[in-house]
Amino acid sequence: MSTPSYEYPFRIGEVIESDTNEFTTQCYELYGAPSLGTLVKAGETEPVYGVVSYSHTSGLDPTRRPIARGEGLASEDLVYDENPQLNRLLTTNFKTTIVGFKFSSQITTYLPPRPPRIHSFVSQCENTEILTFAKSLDFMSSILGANLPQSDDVAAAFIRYACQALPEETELRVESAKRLASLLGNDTRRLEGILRRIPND
Amino acid sequence: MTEVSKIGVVVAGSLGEGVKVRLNGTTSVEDIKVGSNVVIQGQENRFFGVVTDIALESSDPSLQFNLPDVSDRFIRDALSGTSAYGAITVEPMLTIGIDQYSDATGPMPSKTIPTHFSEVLEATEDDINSVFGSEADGGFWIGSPLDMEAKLCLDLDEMVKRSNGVFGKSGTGKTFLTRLLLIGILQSGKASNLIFDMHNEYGWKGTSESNYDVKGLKQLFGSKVSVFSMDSESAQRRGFIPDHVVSFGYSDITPEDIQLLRETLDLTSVAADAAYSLEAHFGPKRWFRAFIGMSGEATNELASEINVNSSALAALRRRLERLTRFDFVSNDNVEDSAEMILQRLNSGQHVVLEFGKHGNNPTAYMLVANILTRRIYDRYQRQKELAMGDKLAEPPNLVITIEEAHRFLSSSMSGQTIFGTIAREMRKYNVTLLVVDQRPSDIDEEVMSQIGTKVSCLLDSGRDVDSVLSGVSGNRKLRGVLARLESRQQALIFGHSVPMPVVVRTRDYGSAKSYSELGDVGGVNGDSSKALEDLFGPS
Repeated sequence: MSTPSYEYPFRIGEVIESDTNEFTTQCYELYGAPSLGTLVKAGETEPVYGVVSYSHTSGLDPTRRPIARGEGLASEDLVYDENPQLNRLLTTNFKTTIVGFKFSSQITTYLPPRPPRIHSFVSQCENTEILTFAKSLDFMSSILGANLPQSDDVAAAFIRYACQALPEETELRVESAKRLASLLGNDTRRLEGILRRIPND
Repeated sequence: MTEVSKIGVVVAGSLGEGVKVRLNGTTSVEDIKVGSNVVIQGQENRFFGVVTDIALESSDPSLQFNLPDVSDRFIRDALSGTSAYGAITVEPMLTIGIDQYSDATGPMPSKTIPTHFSEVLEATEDDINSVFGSEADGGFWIGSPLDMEAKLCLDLDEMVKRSNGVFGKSGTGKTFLTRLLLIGILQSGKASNLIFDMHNEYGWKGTSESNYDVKGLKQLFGSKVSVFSMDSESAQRRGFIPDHVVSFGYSDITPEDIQLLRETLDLTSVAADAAYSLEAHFGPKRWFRAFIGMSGEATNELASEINVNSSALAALRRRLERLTRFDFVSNDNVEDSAEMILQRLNSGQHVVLEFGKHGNNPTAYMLVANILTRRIYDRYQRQKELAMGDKLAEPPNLVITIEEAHRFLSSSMSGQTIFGTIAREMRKYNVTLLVVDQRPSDIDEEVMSQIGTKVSCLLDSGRDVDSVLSGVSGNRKLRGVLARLESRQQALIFGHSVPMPVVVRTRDYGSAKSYSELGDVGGVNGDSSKALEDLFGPS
């Protein structure tokens, strides 16, 4: 659904809220948030990396709730076609758990000294960057330890996403599963639950 | 094997209990066998150890109760080696220093353990050679360590210095192992052998467990080996002519022999002791002939004369008559067989004494073995004392091989028989024993403790295992190893001729190749092509 701008095809949005653990991005496009578990980066020269862990869409003005508009219309798309203002009144934001940063052209897989600035550009990552994080998985402990309701799904989603982005890494799925297993060595049930969410494509 | 494979890292342990090694994800517990050798690369030392236990462990204690869906291969792969992993316990036996100084001293018994996270590797052929020595260093290749092709060698110099034992229950390869050890001693010329061959297996040829004939020492070493027989007919039936047929005169039998035979002759201690009174009365060498020739009345008179219970004396006479029925015991003046055997031994030959049909008669076996060994021992003792420290005049080392050793060395016997004396006094007089037995628990504890090198095949009975392992450090762990030996071609060796206890797969014996490797290269039958020809006919 997202259509990146022609000049900067990988740019998704801008940071509108930021703290040590996570930053929130407002998407340029309504419903333009990347999939859960996607690796994104905020900043230009020394970006901060994060994994998409939560996204939500709501009205820009918190005092004005959206109302139902589709009665009598044949399809959902027609609702948007007939109400073009919705694309301006609604907005999609997503939260990202910070997993690393780049410093002196070196990617490190732990928290940066400072979170990204507000209005940092947020964009998709290249495969080499995804590979670095997929191989290390050091950040998984902070995702799993965050104890959000969706933590397990985020972990599974990241591995799914990495496997899909890097089909040449044939062992990645099993290697990642083993890394998770050692992180969750004392909780086999939880581990099994996560592994079940990483089907073999 | 030249490629070094890492199998895990040290995660815990103690010197007393051995170190615990967590296997890495790629090594399956099924690839590791108890008793196999590993090398641990510590910070300052290399440790050479033995696997004494193998375990399945899990980082999640609830894993065994909440079983994950292991039918899913992905989940199984993820869990194995991570949450569920294999662990082994390694007993560090030897320390091989890394610096030059320790190269000179060789492996030392471990007095410490490797640090946490030391890497554990499979032992390589080089490791085995550096620990056990190689054939080039004068060792005798006895077999290979488990799952390896490396040649594991025994230090024969150490071996012939002390009495040694080969144990194992029937059919586990004691005879094969003994034959190999004898060949080793023969090849090296470190000692002369005298073999009491109860079942005619060592001299000319023997039979393997799978019932094919294998060559005996005479076939392999020709003129270096003399075969003496107690039963020339049996030898002829088996297709060879013994070098000499052994016989004894009445004068060779002593009261000490009667003591030894007390159980097999079913004599009371009073009756057996009466033999000493008889010897005192008639004089040594003459007592047996004089006593056997007596009538019943004369025996009664004699009883009151020498103050012995008359019924005990009558019983003694009846039982001793059994000895006269042996065809190798005669009243005539016979050739001194013991002297002939001694001459051969002194000239560096090896003597196998075959018992033929008498092998099944314990009385005959014990009587002959005792008479001969006593004579030989007396002679050696004299020779050694005459030499008085002059190494050149000393008699050559002699190894006496006895089967069914518990008959001579049981706690009630060992104090009285010459074998007990040899086992205890060991090498003082250059005579040692090679004890072959299937019931080591029946052998006197004191004798067992003097045995230098023990080679043990599979033993079932707990008592036997205990007695073989008594006094060995870490014997609780070795128990597991010993009880799990395969029933053929495997043995646990420990003692003076190996630096640490080790399980070996004994080398091949019976093939043409083995004969050419084992035979006397320079000897009469040493030509390997001849050995092949003997076996398969002319090509």
